[in-house]
Amino acid sequence: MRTTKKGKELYYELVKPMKELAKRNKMLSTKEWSKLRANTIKDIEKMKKRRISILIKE
Amino acid sequence: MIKSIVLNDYELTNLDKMVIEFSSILGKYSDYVIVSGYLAIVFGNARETLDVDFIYKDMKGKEEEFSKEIKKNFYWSEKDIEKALKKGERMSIFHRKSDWYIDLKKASSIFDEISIKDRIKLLLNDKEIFVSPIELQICYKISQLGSDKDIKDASYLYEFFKEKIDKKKLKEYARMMGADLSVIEG
Repeated sequence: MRTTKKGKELYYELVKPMKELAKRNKMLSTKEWSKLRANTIKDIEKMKKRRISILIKE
Repeated sequence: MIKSIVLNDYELTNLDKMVIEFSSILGKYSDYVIVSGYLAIVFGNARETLDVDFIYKDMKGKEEEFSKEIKKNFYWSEKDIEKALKKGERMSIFHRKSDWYIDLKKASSIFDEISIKDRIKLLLNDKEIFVSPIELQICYKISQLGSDKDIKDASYLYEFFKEKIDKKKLKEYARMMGADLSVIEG
């Protein structure tokens, strides 16, 4: 679905956080940023599994 | 324009390993390119995804060999994959060991053709994959897709490659697609 955000809302909610993340990653070595990324992706996977187990309990 | 990118000491995720595996097989049968969300993910935007988008050029009658080779670790719902591939149908190919799947389509638009022609060779440690030109992806995500997630990806890629991207190409693609670059340049 196309974004409905405009102007400042679009900038502060979507554009700015991503630019900050990219700026931080550019300051790090590939080893460092790829490790951070890998850890985050692993956490996302864990959260997905946790969500599924919660649903089953309900 | 960026022709190749080498990332050494790169920590591979299971998603990357799946992409590398599929790429190494597809690459034997056709030129291909990875587009859309995976580009932002592989360069550090650690977000969730379920699918990875691949565009291939032409398998030149080798569809059967390709399907035999991917069958070990991937599956699909089409009864006759070779027929579907020959017809150039868009397909979802699922990974047997995870929730991820490949969205595979044959090049059909001018932008697909450009993506393949000007693709970037990306070395993740020593593993080779091919990804779409960054300039084209930024414009495509803003103009043709345009969801919150796409604007985020475009912003991330723009900032991450700001010093390296071909500004002339970026403007050219923006004009072709009607992409408003001011959205991410601010």
